[in-house]
Amino acid sequence: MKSKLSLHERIRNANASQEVEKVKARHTYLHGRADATGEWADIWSRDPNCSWAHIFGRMRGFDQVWYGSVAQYDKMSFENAIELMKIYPETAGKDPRPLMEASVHTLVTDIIEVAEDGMSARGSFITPGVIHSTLTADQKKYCNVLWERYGSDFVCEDGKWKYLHEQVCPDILSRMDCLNWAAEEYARITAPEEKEAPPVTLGEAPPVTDPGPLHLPYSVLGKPQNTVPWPEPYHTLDDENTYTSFVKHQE
Amino acid sequence: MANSRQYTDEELIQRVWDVEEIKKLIHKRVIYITNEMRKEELNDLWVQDPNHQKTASFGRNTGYYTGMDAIRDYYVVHHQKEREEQLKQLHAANPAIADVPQNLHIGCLSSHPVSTGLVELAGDGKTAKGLWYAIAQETEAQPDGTGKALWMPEKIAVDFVKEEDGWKIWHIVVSTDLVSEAGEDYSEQEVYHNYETNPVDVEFGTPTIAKLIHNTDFNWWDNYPPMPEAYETFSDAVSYGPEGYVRPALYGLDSKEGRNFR
Repeated sequence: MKSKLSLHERIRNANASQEVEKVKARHTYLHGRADATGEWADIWSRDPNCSWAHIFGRMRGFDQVWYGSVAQYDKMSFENAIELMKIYPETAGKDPRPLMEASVHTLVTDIIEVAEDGMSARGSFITPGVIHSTLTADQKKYCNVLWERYGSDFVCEDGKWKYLHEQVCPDILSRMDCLNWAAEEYARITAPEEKEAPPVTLGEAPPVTDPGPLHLPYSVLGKPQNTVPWPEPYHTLDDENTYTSFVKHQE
Repeated sequence: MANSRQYTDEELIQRVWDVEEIKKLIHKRVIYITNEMRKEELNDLWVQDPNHQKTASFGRNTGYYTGMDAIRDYYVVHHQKEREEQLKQLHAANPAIADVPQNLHIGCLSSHPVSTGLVELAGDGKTAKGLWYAIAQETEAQPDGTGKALWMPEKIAVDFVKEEDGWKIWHIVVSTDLVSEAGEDYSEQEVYHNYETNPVDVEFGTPTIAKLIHNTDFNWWDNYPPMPEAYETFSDAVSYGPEGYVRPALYGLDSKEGRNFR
């Protein structure tokens, strides 16, 4: 497709694409330390339209996202730290958040489109991740593999690129290399007694505005879901080009 | 210091170009490792300027080799000797595998594909810092004719410097999070990291500066190597070399300490 953009605009957008890559990578490394505060305080927009979605539904508005993604997440890590200190007293005084686990959602296969107006960008990603922890309350280290897809919208605020929307779509989860997610799912659905699907997030689901499920992990009875299709070239962020429709304010 | 400069179109496209060149450089390193071309990696991708060679470093969780001579001795010479010994053992177990140089690296295939790239180019454009994550594997033939395959997810943090013929690797820290044999249950490993038996630590030997710079027992708590932040010009304070290492301010106790009160 021939670009309608001037040379200046194309250079601006090429640079913007790299800046968005960096924001997305910062998310990964901050989340790897369970530093939800660093993530939502530094690389997220405070716009009332911001949103974060997972299987359980979509949180809308910065305050709801902060409550679910930061306050509730930190609570889990503090509760975990109290248990850890009983078994591993050397953990006392250390930041409880990274002690919980290193949840490393690596980023590959990115498709990033920067808006023609240069004020927003959209990206889809696959994340073949690992989630591991060493000192745990049950005194066994673990490493899980979790593959997900991301649909992410970003906005440029005062020259800085920030997250506006994130939708996370988990596809497969299992323990690294010694279990089989397909066999586990088959065993679950053919068990004589009904068993709930295992959780793909830690802790309780947070309060949401748009209830889920918004995407389902692998099932032998399920089809692939294109929940977060890659972004197409677009002019400006609007309801036709977004991973979260905008709230229509009442007049 | 954050980079708050305003750039002309000419300057900005050069910066975009530089970041893409740096990505290619680190991708080439991945391919060199996979092809067992460590000598070529150091010759082609690492610093050539004598001043940069003196201050080059290669870090892992247990310290740093500093200066290209020490790096070459560990990364190329020592590795070559290990491979020669491995071939001797393979030959002894199976004489059909001749102990000749062209058979070096038989049964070996390692891949450290990088993802999650975060490249910060200095405001002055002379250096850059990058962080990647690799869900890596290393596979090696064993003397009994079997193979051993290890998963080793790791962070790879790199300082780059622009020399006359382009971008070069100056300092690197490869911080391995865990090592687990493929097909084995990782949770059955002893809980605390064992520096005597961990294959990455054993292979790294005793570096020029031997000290624990990342303790995996506490996951990523010590935040080393850290994410690169925007910066104006290179200094020791931002280096991934040993001069830039900062121990967490309130470290508290180390692994296994404070356990005698029961």
